[in-house]
Amino acid sequence: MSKNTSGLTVYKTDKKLTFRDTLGLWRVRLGIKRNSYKVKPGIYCTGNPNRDSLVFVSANYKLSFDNLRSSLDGIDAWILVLDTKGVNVWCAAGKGTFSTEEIINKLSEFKVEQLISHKKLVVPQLAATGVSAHDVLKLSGYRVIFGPVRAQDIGCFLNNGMKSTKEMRAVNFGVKDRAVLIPLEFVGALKYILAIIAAFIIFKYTKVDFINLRDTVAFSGAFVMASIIVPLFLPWIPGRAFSLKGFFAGIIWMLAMTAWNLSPGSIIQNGINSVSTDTTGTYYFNLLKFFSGNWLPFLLLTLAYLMIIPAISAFFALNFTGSSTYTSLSGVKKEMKVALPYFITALCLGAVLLIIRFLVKTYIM
Amino acid sequence: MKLKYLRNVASLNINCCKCTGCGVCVDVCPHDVIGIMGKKANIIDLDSCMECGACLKNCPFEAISVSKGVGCAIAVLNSRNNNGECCC
Repeated sequence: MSKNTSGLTVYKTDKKLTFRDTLGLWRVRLGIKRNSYKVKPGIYCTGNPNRDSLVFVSANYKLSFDNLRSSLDGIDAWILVLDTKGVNVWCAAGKGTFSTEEIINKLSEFKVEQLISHKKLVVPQLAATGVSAHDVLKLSGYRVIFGPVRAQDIGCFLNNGMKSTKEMRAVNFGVKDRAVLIPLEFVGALKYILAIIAAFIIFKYTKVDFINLRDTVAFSGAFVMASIIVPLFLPWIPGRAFSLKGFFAGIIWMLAMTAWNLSPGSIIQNGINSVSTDTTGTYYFNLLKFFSGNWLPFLLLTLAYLMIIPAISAFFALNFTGSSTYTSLSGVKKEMKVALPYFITALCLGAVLLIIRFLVKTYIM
Repeated sequence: MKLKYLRNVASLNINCCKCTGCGVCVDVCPHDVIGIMGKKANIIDLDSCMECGACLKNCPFEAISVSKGVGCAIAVLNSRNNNGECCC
């Protein structure tokens, strides 16, 4: 796949995405071996570039590279792939691997000046966090032109005289952008859900009446709310803070689960259980049993739900700030100052309430 | 509907004495936070600023200050635990 022009290695590539590329895309979206989805740093060519062709700079996260090459349809160009340790453009720029220094190093390492007769580099705009255009010019003589945020806009960008429009410069976070992140969020939540299910199975097996199937669904659902519902309905859930959005989603779920606990089935069951017979064989309704049997544990459980479910949702929704495209560090720090103590307090209170409920059910009733 | 984060927390500042109005900051900003008015860069939408630092890095006149960082709760937690490097 490589051709040699005066001792230079140039890898040939094209815009075609194969089935394997699509498979890889879904693999990393599910978070499977996401940190090792790389292409080899180097010089690539698409079409038949010559000495006047443009050089597009890219990260070596394969998704970034695939995105770029598939957008260079019918364009003869060089692609300079940096070594960003398999991290995408924006994150690598934030971490400092997609940087001024990295561009300068790779320009000389891959002898780019032997391929082209101009001194222009098209760098994705999101790399601007790590790449200083005026420093690159000063240190290497190359002029950095920031291209559009999305590689798909490259055609329009070139037709527009290498200028991005306002739309091309803007990072969006629409429903589609958020939806593709959901698998990764959910996979992140899955280990907690599995832990809850494992606890339920252990309690069931050891016949300890600590949490039942409904509680398992209730607590697991808190993670589902935060990892699926919050990302999907982000703009419509009230509040600007992510933890607040998660809190509201958790409250809705908590109310739904409480309604389920109150459902006619359980009250009827409760009524049946409260009917007893005395020694003479007469049936009577034991009012005391009806209330003492369910009222107190129900109240304790509802309070435990109120503590635990919104706290889990709030904290896990806060997790989504890292995947979002508009949260600032100052904002996240401010939000965490409130969210973290709340989370710890609510979770401890919830655990205490569950323990009290367990003791009441086991020793009083 | 444009999503916005917390009000009035972003640490972005522009020194109008140093600013020459070249507009590089406008070109690199992913959230249209800065606009050129009266031949100077002005913050027109502070609440959209995510402190990515693109403008800071690319201002040739050092007119911009912002405490750059990644708005990621996990990274904040991790940097607390191992005092320093973050991850996402």
